[in-house]
Amino acid sequence: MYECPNCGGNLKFDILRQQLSCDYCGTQADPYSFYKEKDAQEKVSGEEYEATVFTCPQCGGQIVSEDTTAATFCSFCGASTILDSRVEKQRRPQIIVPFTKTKEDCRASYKKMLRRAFFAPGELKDERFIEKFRGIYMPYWVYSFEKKGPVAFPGEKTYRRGSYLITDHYRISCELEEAYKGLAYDASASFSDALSGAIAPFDLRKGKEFVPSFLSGFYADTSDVEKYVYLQDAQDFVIRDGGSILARNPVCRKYHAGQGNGEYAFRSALRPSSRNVELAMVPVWFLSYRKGDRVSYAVVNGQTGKAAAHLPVDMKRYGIGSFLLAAPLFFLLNLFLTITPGTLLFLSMVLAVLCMGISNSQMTHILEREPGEDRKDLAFERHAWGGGSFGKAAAMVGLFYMTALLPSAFLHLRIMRGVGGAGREMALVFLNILMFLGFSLAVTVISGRQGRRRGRKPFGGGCWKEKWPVLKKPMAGILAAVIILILDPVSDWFYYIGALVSMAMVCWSFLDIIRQHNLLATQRLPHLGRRGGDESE
Amino acid sequence: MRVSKGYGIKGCRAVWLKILAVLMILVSAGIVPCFGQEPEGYVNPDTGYEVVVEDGAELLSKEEKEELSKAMKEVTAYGHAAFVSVDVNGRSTESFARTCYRDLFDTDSGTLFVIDMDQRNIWIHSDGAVYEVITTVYANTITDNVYRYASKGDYYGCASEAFRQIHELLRGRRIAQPMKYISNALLALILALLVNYGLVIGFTRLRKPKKEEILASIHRRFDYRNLHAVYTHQTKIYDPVSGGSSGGGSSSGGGGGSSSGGGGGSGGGGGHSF
Repeated sequence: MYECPNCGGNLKFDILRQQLSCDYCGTQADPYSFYKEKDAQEKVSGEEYEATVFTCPQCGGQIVSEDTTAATFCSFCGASTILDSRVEKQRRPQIIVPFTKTKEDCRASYKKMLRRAFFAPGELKDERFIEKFRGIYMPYWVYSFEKKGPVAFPGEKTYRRGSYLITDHYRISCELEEAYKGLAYDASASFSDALSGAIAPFDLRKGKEFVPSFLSGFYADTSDVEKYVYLQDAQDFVIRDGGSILARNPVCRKYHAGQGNGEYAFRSALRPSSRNVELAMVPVWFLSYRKGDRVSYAVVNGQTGKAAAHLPVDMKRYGIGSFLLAAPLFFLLNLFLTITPGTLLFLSMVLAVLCMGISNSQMTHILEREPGEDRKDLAFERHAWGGGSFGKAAAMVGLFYMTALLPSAFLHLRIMRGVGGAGREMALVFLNILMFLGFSLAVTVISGRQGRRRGRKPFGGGCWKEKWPVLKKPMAGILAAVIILILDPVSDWFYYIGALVSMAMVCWSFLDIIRQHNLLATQRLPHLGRRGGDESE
Repeated sequence: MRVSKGYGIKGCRAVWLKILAVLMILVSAGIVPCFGQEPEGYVNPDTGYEVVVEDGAELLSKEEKEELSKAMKEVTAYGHAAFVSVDVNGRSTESFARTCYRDLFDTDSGTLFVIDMDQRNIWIHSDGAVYEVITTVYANTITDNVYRYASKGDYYGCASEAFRQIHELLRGRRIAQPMKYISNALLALILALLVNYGLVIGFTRLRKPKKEEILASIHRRFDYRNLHAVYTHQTKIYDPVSGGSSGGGSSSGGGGGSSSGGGGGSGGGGGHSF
């Protein structure tokens, strides 16, 4: 806490004035010139500075503040609780980018972003909730690269002479001077890369030398990601950019520099000779939304005002929105579309397949992202069914024949009358492919996760056992449609009932899809895995 | 004499049977018109359009035919009206209906209702001005509405209801399409769910900054001077040019489109099995 020299009140960093300011008497002070014995002592030690570290008893999230008064809610999990505090030495950043966007700016950016989020929960738009935005300095690793001197890389030109391909090799050289300063990557494990990427970039050129007084009135996250983690990414960015500039040169174009076999040498030539990594604090307005044991975040760049959020969907709003949209769609369909029962059933089947694809894709992401309890059975070995590749191949061929070819014969002879004219054959082929995919999927489910066990990327993302409870719904719709199409009953009622069942399954699947979206938009608590985290919460 | 007479009678019967069989095959193949005899008819004195009832499958009684003709007369204000039933048909009902219509009315305006007992299908084929109203969609709708009569064996009810609905549409009125609305309502709901999901994904996707945005926020200097290329060496790879036929030919794609239903023509229709 920085005491006001006039009244003893708390001096806080004022964004508009870019000065420390007293809330009570209005005294202003320059963050650098403001005398603080503690700062002076820390300056000597260089590497560290002293600060109060608040730890959330629920999620284990740690947040640093110059304010010694107890914080009453956790920014990471949204829990309203008295945070444990202790004074601790922290790694001293070299750079700080002060907040330039006020809380009002932040709220405006957030509200603007929410205008497009039609189905976001109402609480996210509530003024009292938005008031909970908290200014946090996020640690970022800032990479700088330089290279100066001669570089050389190969080039070549190939042409044909008779029966020979002749390649003339060249050595391309130049004097290079490159400098990239300020490539920033977030250094906090609690700040998701997706969110930090979405509000990037921060202009580090406007950064200042760090003094702890800038933190007054704000919080800071601790850096817990090693600086080497993003070094390669940053270097690759520099090489790619330099390479793209050089490649535009007519000589490089003529001799195909950086292409084919010469690519590695070209990249090596552009590799920076010196690199520097600094820790910077960048300003982020941070808001957490907690629902049950899940939490999602909204962030606003405190320098540019760019907002981003993981927005869950409110099922009720989504349902109402869909009904409202269905009304004009119904009107339009009535104007242009009269379909036979067969076509309706076929369409419902296509929609069910689409649902299955979306659901599978989301489940794959969820299972990739959420390790631990959700994937307890990772060690699950492939079921003995099918016994080896030959057995599996034989089963696949057999199933393909039974499920795709035999129904084809039926279909050719009798059904698909609703799908008229030239579309009939296409529909038939499409149906065969769908059925084959469906039953291939079933075979994969039965035969277990062979792909995962072998470290290969499995078909459709694998993990079919975990996905089955979700995928079985659209699958049931597809199955109902296929059976009716194969049986080809005379009465239309079978088609309508089949279509109704299939569409009901599609609607049910959509509920799952939204639930899955919400799982992807939120993360489980505790998420930080730091000391103090309460696993039982 | 007896022998020869008997032989002669037998021979005559065999010949007649053969002729009949050939005629049936030709009729079913559409080589000769579908009517071996002059159909019973009515000609609208105002429009010149006629009513044709040809019950080849003998599904209707005489009274029913008369009643059906009366119902069909209403349609002749707009075009020809024909009812055809067939017992043996070697083609699709659609193809049969198209050929029959062409044979009866060529491309004149009109509509034909076919009951195909061989394929157990009913079909409505229309052409000319009538086809502008009784489109394929409406033909499907009408056959969907009346196929149950045929399933129960009430062929008169099936045909008269079909012509009644055709007449309603030609008069500019509407016919009941309850399932159309139910189907469209379901489809609209699912499409709405899908579109809204697209909105959710489209508007909430977190986008990474473009390269230009990153470059604009960092200090970058990239200069090079004296860029030049110096010849170092040459390599040769033996790669004889293939003397085969590959790479030279281009195949021409074939042909024009085929006309559907054996012989093309305008018009169209829809049907339903029963």
